[in-house]
Amino acid sequence: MLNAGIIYAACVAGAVGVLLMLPRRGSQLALLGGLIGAASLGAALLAVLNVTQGADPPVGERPGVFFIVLAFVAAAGAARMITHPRPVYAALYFILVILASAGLLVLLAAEFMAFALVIVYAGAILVTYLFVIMFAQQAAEEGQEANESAPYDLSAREPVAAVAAGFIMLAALLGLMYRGTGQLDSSSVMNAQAAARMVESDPAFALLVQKAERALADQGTLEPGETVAWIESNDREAWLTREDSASAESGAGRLVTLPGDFQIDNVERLGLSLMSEFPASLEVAGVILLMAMLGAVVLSRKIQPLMTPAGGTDTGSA
Amino acid sequence: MQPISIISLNAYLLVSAVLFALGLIGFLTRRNLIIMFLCTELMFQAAAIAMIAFGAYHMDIQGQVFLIFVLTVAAAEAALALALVVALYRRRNSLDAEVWSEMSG
Amino acid sequence: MTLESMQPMLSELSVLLVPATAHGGGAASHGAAAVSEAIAAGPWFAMFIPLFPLLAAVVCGLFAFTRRYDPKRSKIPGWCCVLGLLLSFVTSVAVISRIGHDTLQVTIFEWIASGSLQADFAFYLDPLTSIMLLVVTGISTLVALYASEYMSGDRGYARFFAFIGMFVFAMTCLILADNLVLLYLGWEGVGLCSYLLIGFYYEKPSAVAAAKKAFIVNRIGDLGFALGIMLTYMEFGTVEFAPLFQALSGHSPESVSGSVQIIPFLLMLGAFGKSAQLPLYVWLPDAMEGPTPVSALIHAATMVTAGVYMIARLAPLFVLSPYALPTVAWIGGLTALFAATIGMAQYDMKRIFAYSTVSQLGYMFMGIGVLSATGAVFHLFTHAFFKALLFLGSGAVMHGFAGQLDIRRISGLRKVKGWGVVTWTMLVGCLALAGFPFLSGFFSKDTILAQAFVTPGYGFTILGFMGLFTALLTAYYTFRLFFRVFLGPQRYEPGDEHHADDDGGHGHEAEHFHPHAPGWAINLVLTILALGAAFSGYVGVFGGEEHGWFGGMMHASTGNAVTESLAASHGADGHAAGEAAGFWADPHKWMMAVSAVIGLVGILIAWYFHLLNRQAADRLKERVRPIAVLLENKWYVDEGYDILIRKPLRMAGYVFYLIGDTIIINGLVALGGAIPRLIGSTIKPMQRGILHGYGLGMAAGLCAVLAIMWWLIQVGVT
Repeated sequence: MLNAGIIYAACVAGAVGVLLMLPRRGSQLALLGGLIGAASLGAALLAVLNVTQGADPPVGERPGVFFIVLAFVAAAGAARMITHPRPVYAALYFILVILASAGLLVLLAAEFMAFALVIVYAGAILVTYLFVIMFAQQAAEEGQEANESAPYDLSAREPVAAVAAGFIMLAALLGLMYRGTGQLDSSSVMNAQAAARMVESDPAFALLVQKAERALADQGTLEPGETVAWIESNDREAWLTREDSASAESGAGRLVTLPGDFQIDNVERLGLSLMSEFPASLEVAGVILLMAMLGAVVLSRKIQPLMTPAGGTDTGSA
Repeated sequence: MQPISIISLNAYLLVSAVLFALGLIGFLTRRNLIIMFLCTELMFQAAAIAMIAFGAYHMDIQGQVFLIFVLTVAAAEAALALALVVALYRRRNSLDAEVWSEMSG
Repeated sequence: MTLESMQPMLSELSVLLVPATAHGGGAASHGAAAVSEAIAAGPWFAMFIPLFPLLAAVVCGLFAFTRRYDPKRSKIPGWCCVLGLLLSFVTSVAVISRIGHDTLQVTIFEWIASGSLQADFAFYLDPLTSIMLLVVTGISTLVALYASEYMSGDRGYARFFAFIGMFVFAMTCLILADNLVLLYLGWEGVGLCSYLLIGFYYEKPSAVAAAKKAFIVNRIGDLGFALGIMLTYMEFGTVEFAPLFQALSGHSPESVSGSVQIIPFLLMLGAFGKSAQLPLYVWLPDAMEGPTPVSALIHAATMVTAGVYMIARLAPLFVLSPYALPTVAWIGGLTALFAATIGMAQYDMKRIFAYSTVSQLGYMFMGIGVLSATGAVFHLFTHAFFKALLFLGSGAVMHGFAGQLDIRRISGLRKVKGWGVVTWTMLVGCLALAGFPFLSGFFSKDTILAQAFVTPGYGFTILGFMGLFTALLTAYYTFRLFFRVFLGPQRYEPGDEHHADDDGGHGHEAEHFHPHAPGWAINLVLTILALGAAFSGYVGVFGGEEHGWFGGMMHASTGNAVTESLAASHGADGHAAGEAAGFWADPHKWMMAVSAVIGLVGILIAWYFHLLNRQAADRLKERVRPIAVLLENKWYVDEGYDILIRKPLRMAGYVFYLIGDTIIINGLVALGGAIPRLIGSTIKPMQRGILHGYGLGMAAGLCAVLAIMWWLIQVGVT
């Protein structure tokens, strides 16, 4: 059981911390707020990670030190992003958040998505943001001194209400979430279920045979006329490592050991799933991107005032 | 590769929820249009982490597939939002969201 | 005879009624005709009887919608309509020859089948249907022929014939109907056509008012009729005639529930509305605003007799209440006298005949009420001829004299060139109406009056004397008109109508006015009708043992139920009862003599006052001025209705308007408007147009939802 009290207390403390960090004229307490926030996040993490039922959980069931570091970096980056008075820094802190969360994704064995996140978000989107920020600051400099934040960046709007709303939601969310996850099956049960489901429906599995065939042929193990068949195994771990073997037919064929580097990797599975199960969604996503591009072009076009016919220029709008 | 434990799942969900709450607070408190949109991106990030964590727990690749679409929509949204911000900025020469309060009842 | 002395006799009558109410032929002459057996199928071509008029109506309707059709140059719609009606008449004759004295049934198509309610578009053919078919299709063909000339040049020529075709369609549906629902369809259909044709000159406010009056007054009656049909369905589970009569055949007034005894009274209300009886007669005189052929066809010969037909058709239902038919008789008798007194004092030719129609319809109801369905339908039959003739004759006068209808302004038509046929045919018509011996009205009226003296009942003898007095009045007012208009010194003034086809040679001044003599179509129709008025009465004299061929026909129809109930009460027919009462051998014989004398007396009085010595009439009128004024103003019935019904309704409406509309409804509406406005003004400040405000609202809502979920889980709801 989670210690719910610690979580809720951490929420309250975090709220106070964030409130202190928010930009306000004449406020010197941002650092204190940051410390309070970090402490409350740490308390919450401790509450989540340290609660055990009786004995210590087996190693590997608990996220390691990388997770803790990345979590702190992400949370701190996010907190600084929403509190920094200058938009450029906010954007840079957001990049930090992206990098940290990409790290979290790597820990979750979603390597492709981690890199996609870095490339698309940190690379493409954030650069666009920075462009726009620069553009706005450039124009602002004409009217005011450089390196000075705009007045609307210096003060938060209704900080108490917003923070209260945010952290009440967080507390309720966490309460619900942990109640929900408490009812989930443990990992070992999930293993069996996931394996069965994967054999049934994962398109990657269909390709696994071909891949094994190719790998064995490259190795020279597969002789002409032989084919590869999977022996059903409920132990996912076993067949994803190479201890499991393929035979022409169970009983009649021979067992061979797969090459050491044989496995189906994340990108392969992702691509197969995407193309075989969601082709229509993929097309729609492409259309959305196209329309967004068109929309952005149309929206950001400079609207020129109409010329009068007397002026001799074209009467149409630009 | 093996599914993560419920304890790990809880931890990831905690991070996700914290990021989401921070994004929401930022969206509500900041007056700069660009930062407000950045905050929405932050909330997307939180959702992404939650999805990947659940995918990892269920050993299901669809969590990641879904994230691809989320990224697509986020990119489209960012493009349009920034275009809008530029258009608005041209009109009032300010990024303050409060100058656009003509819809008051 | 007093009411108390009648009571045991009536109850005995009711007991004996049981086998006699058998549907179709009576037990005596036709054995157990269709009580247990299924009714034989009739000729399939009966479907053409309503179909031809409908087709004619559609064709004429198309003409009416065609802009290129010029009514001044072509009479095609009129001829289409005449042809359609003639074909319908020919088909009717063919069907009638197949009916004979049988009862047949023709199902055209399944119309309504909903649960236990079965109402097909089917025909119920019995001798009563035959008679009505002859009258309706025959008279309508003649009237259409007449109207093809009469209406020529009118802007609505095609529209007129479309309505006529539609009317005949509805009327034939009414008389052919195999069930109450189809009968009701026809009933409302003829009501609609009547409305449309009364308001034919829709630019005239008086015509529009008359059309509305007819429609609204008929609604009152039709409400009763509809309720009667519904109650019939509730009580007997069917609206079809054959099963209904079969179900009725096992009943007597004692064996049926009280609600069944209410049915005749409800149906009666419909009949009184449609057939213009007290107190719903007020629409018919006003209905003369329509074109004269319409008055002749719809408001004299056919539609207004639908009430009589309906009672004759549903006679087995009516005899189930011991008070229903006496009520009908008394209402009819009172109406006859009442309308005749009004008719005496009117000056408008068509109005005189309109009141005369009301009066004659009263006779018919009296006839069926005193248990002589034969007499009632017989009078319906002869009345159709002579009243159509009289209307069409006065229409010819109206047509020729530019709308002149006032009998004070027109005189001595006999001598005007080209009006011979009109004069002589009108004479025949007037004589028939006055009950002159050996013309049609003489026989039919006598049948009714004699029966009134024969049948024991609630003061039926008094009714008989009233009827005789009415006959005197009838003869007087009929010949008052005839002597005034057609005889005497030649003198006429034109009316104020200018016919479109006039060549402009005769203007509105009397000295230059040339009457527009009727053409061949009008003369031909008048002649045929005059022959009918003169000789149609003989179908009730020759060709059968009692009441001639006509009596035989009626004997085989549903109208026989009343005769059977009479026979049951006496063990013999009315003649024997007359003998028992000590009168002359045959009541019909002495009644003929009495009424002939009375009719002649009436004619003589009219002759003295209106031909010989017209000043004497004026002097007499001065002497009885209050009565004359009262009659001229139709007993102030319209004014009475105005005070008793319209004014209170209007007052009530105004009160309801003040209380209900202005306070309650307007208040509710205003409140309905004020609440959103109040809410809006309360929460309007929240709509600040500031993005953060909305975002905060959304976040707060999300928080609230999550918090509620969390709380629900904590307390363990889920």
